[in-house]
Amino acid sequence: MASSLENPRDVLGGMLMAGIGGAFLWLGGDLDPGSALRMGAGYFPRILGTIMVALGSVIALLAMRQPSAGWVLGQTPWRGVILVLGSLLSFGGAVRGVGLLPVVTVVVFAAAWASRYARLRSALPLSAGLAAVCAFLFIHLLGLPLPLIGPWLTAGYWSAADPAVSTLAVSASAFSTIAR
Amino acid sequence: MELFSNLGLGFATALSPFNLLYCFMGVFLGTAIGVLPGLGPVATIAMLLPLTFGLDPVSSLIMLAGIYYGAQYGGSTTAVLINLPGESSSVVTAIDGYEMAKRGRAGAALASAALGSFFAGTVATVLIAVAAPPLAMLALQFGPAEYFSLMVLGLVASVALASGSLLKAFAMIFLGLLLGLIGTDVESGAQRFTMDLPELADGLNFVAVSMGLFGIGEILRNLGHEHSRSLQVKSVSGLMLTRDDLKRIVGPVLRGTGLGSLLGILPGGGAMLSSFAAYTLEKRISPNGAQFGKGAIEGVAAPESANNAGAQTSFIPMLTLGIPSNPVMALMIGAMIIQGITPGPNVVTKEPTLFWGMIASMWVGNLMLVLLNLPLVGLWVRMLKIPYHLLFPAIIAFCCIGAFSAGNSTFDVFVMALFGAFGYCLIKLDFEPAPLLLGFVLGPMLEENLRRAMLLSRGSPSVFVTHPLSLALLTCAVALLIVVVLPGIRAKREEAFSE
Repeated sequence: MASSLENPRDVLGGMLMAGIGGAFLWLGGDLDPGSALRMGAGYFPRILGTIMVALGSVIALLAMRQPSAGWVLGQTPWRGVILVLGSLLSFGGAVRGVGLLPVVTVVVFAAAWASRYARLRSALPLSAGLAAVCAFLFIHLLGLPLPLIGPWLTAGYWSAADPAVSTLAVSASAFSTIAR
Repeated sequence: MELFSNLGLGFATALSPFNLLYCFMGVFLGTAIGVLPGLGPVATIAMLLPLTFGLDPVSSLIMLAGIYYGAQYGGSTTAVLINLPGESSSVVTAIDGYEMAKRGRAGAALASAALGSFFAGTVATVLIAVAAPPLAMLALQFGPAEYFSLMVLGLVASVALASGSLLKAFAMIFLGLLLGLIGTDVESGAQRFTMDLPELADGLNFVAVSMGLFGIGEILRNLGHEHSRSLQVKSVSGLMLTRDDLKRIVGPVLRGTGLGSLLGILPGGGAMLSSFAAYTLEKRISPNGAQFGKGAIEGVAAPESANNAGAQTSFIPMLTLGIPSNPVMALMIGAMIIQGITPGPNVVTKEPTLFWGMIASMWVGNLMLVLLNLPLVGLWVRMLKIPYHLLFPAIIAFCCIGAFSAGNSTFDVFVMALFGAFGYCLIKLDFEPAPLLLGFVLGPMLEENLRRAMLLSRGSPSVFVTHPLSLALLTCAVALLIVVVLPGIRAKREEAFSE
């Protein structure tokens, strides 16, 4: 059964699975298990969590018995991983504030550099073109409730709406007055 | 004949101009994503799912189905022309298809793939029309115990038929089941694993999870081994098959269709498994077996017929039992639920236009696909020249907007990012994410049926073995498990997957 397991890789994987099972058991610890007749919210999760911990441990233990095959996870394209995930997070964080048109432009442009073959002359038109297509398709045709250009980019937003920023602006102007 | 009046209703639905348009959009998109390596039907359907909210249920399901079987056609083009599987189900097609292309027979390879697929699609359509209604009638008599056992069988089968380690596939299923429990417990109203996040009260968004696992995870993997593609064939000519070719592919197409139809119905089956099995079978029994791997036309016709047949018959358990047999079907179920249709045996009787319209649209779609893929092959060849580094930023943008529009919430974009990163870890650790998605969809159903069965039996678990149907289903599950674990058969299974 263990024939297809590999030593460092599946030890890690098994421990990850057991850990996730344990986390579910721990988080669901206060859920009412009820009885077999009337199962509460915690009954099924507890069964699944226990099996998960057991499965993960068995995978890790069986893999440990294999001779070590060395580190076989291969290369990780770190730049790509960071750029792609960063793009997704920035989209989620900024789309409402900045608006669809600018956020797609920036996200596509940034994500393009995840590839080794990215060039300025292809990334620029790609991001601009995609932003235009997305804006037309999703906002104009499909009516997605997102601003084209968000409030963060409108004039006057930062001076009036956000107290932290206005405080900053006031103190900055006060500082410049004193300095003068 | 009830079948004919039903099919009449189906064709009347499928041939309405509006549905024809959506069917065409589906198969066109399906071919496109099939041609493009690195973009599969799961990610595409997940991306498009939110866009179908406003559509009529029939039109949206017709389109989504078209994407899946359309991708089976498109995948062969890439496999033959650049020796890369455009779709996981055309991995084996590349072996002989590319060899044929190198000898200037790309046209014949593409023609045999498309014609084989069309034949298989026709047979599978008829099979669904004939087999689905009686199966749904049978399923109507299912109680909670039977449903529970059926789902267990489905999950076991999806593990048994997957490649790689059994234990790891099981771990993925249980992980999916656990993730499916996140949210409000329907019975007690308790918040489970929501970590006080109100966004999690309805559970993790299915679209965001599947796009993360299959869309983003795949992009990250592809970035790991990027290489510029070389296009072997600039233009494809000679689409006509010779009389000798035709004679050689009749048997493989028939056997591929039969095998594919059968494996497609099985839970956990579908297009990919069918193509592998058909190729292996053909290699064993074909009189031209020695030519396999060196450009045998049988090695293209058989797996391509099989994957299309398998793709279509995998709709049978989804339509009649409401149980998905692969991630694409899980998404189709998601699409039905979004449209307010309860998946299950009642779909046949309660939604006849949907059921028969979808079946008829499959045949119409297959006809469109032959026309799209043979005379218009030049278009797809040109599309193959789009380099991946221009493609994936677009996928990222569409995934972001798709995740957002699934629930008009930026939270789902973060969920997608999280599962993208997690999916990439799983790929690195060689865990297959497909069973996870099945578990995720089946988790809540499994728990609900377990609870109801136990309540009806007054807390005695013997209900699962005293009901004959439930016992039969569980016996199948156990038998399947034993068969897969037995050393001799295990070795064969690994051999089949390594080929």
